[in-house]
Amino acid sequence: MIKVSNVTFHYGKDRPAVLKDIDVTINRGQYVSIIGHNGSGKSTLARLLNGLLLPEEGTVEIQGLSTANEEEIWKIRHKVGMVFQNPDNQFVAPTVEDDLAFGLENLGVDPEKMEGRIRDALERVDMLPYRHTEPSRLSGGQKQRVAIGGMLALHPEVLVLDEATAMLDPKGRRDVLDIVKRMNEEEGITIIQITHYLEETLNSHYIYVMDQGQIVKEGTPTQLYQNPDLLRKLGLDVPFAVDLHFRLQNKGLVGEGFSLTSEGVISALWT
Amino acid sequence: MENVGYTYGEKTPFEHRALHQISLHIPSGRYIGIIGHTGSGKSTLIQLCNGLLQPTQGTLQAGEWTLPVKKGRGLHLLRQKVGMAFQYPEYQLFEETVRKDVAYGLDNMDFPKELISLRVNEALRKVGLDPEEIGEQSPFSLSGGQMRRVALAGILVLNPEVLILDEPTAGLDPAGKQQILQMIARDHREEKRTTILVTHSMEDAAFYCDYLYVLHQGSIYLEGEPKDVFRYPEKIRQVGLDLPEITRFIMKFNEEIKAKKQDIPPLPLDIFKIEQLVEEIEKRFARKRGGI
Amino acid sequence: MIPLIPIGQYMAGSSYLHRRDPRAKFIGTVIFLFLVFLANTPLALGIVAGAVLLGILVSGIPISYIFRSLKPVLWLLILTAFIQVLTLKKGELLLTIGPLSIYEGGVKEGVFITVRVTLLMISASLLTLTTSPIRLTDGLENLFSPLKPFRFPAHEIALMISISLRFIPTLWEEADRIKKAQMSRGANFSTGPLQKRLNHILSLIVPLFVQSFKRAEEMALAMEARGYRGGEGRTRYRRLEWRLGDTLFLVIILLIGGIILATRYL
Repeated sequence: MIKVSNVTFHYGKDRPAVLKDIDVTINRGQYVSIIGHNGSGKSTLARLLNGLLLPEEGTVEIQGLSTANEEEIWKIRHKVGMVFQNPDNQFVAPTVEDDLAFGLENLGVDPEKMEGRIRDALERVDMLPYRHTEPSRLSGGQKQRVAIGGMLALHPEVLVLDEATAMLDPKGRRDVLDIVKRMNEEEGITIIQITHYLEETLNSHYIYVMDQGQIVKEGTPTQLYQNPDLLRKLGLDVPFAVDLHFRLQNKGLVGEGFSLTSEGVISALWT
Repeated sequence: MENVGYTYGEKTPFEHRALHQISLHIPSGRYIGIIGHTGSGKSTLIQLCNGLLQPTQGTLQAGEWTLPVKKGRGLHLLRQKVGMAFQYPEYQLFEETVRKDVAYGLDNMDFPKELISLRVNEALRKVGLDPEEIGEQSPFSLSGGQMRRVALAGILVLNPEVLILDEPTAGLDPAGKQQILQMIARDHREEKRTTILVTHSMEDAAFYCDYLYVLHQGSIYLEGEPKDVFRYPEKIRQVGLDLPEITRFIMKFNEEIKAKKQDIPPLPLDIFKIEQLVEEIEKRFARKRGGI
Repeated sequence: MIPLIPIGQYMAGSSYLHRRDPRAKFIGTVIFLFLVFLANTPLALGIVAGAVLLGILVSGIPISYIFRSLKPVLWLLILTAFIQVLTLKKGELLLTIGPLSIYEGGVKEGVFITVRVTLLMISASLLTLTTSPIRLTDGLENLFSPLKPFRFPAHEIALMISISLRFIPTLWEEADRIKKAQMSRGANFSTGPLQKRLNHILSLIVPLFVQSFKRAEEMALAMEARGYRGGEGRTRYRRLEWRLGDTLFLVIILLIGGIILATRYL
């Protein structure tokens, strides 16, 4: 369980607060999205989760371990894997397998066991054929899959994706999201996905909407999509089907409620 | 462009053929969309258009220039007419102030000093920035979205006849994305500027462009107006691309009518605006309801 | 993107040279470079050249490729040869053109220098051509690890080299893109008044630096997030294995060295 209590954060004393009094509790095995436009504070929140940043007020706890404790931070970082936005700037080693090894080496894993863990992790992100490939020959989406693989090799309990799809093309984005969803469903890994694309949150169990350092709205996708106007006001895009359903509803062509897919809208039209 | 081909690193062990036998003709004043996968040859194609690369096969006609030109002589003049915004154009910012950076292109043209300031202000306003407010700031102190706009102003300031944009909205949030696309569309309308947009988004291509080229493995795979290109969902999917969501909806809608054998005229495929879609659906269902 | 073909970029393979332990290759290359300087007679230099040729053949890398990668330094070779030919006044006078006079000794030295530098370049690039960067840095780290008690940062240096090597293609691509972006704004890097050209170069370097710093910062963050806390307590995935073949490899090089030393006393 991840527990963020009353957290406030500034970059520098006299700068305005990036996070104000944030309270978030995320249970094991959940798929949670944190959404907001650029500068809403969502990436800062992500970095608090594995102790890359420390809160000025309040506490961040991951399964009872606190990021305020210097020694516990390293344990937390092995439990909480993090994938960043730029695929290039998190690829450390000259080849795919060596990049996966990097995290294992940091952890001090027995070299005899690395081979198997690397193979297993690459298989789970569908990158095994690229084992010996250099990063410059991989697409952005493939590099992000390697980054996820690098986390999986460490057997994490939580995976934080900090706008990990923002720089990818549609195919790369789809591949990454599919893998993340699979990790959540099949292996019970807690997913915390930070994004500014509302359509990427369709898979999640719960969504937090951030604006100006605060959580302004939270709920299940179903609850959130009931109010497209608010989302639009916060600078977010509304998924097509949700938008269409809402517009048709205003014209009295469909009943109350909402649809997440085109099929949903169509069946609503004929009822 | 006639049978243009391009090969990288000719005669080295790393030789790589990026384009094959491409022929296309882009008339002035159009808004062209180029879509295709990463690695489909899009970026090679647009770099040929302003002479950053020269064709290794075939010839290319751009205004009064015919490429290849020996040793690239005089191509900087072509580049003044064909403006190019690369992906993440904010990476090109380097001057101490926004104003200086935007003026860089004009300085290079030896443009008269008195006029530069006017043109710079105009370009900044065009991208929705206030020259008084941010003109003297360092471009590196701005937010990501603002930097992107400053960079675009640095290209628009040259007033090129053709503007090429390689995914100008990559990495922006939805609000920033819409602002940029609307600004480009307005500029295209007002200046009658030929605009070439490279994009991954089928929605944007369908919504903004009046003619599309779909590239696949270095060749033109499909071309035509959006409604014609997106008429072939199978063909589009074969190359790993998708239809705009609105088109997918219309197709499903029409299938439903067929399946239910209802007396409703199918929706036309050339609707790319959601307002228009709602209107069309309303017409059909109002009639249906009226009939009951 | 212009493909990056630096001198001696690693070419994957499985030849005898490829399979050698990086430490053996590194030590061997260093010894060999000494030999090139020790060889001061045509015979000795011939033997060294023969050994280099043998090395190329064994490596399975096309000779034409190796010579083409020498092209960028060709003018340097020619320049040094010229200086030798024109300045060294030894032996018989061969030719006088205006104020320049050419002596036999100068020509001899000129040829010698050219051959030596060429051999140096080739043997050094044979090392990098047949050893992947990661093996090379692993080897270096291992070789220098005995110096760790003297606070020699072997691990840090190896990591630095390996990350730099990994980023060369990325930065190259980025430099190419920035250059093209500035060219699209009318920058002309080859002609024009000096002051303007200087500004053009700035327009290339400033963005490149800004980006590199940003990359470095993000990289540090990503490494920290993956639990990196220095060399202490780390294990290594790749282990180096010194085989009989590696010992033999060094023996062969030492033998060549012996022969060359012997020629000095012939």
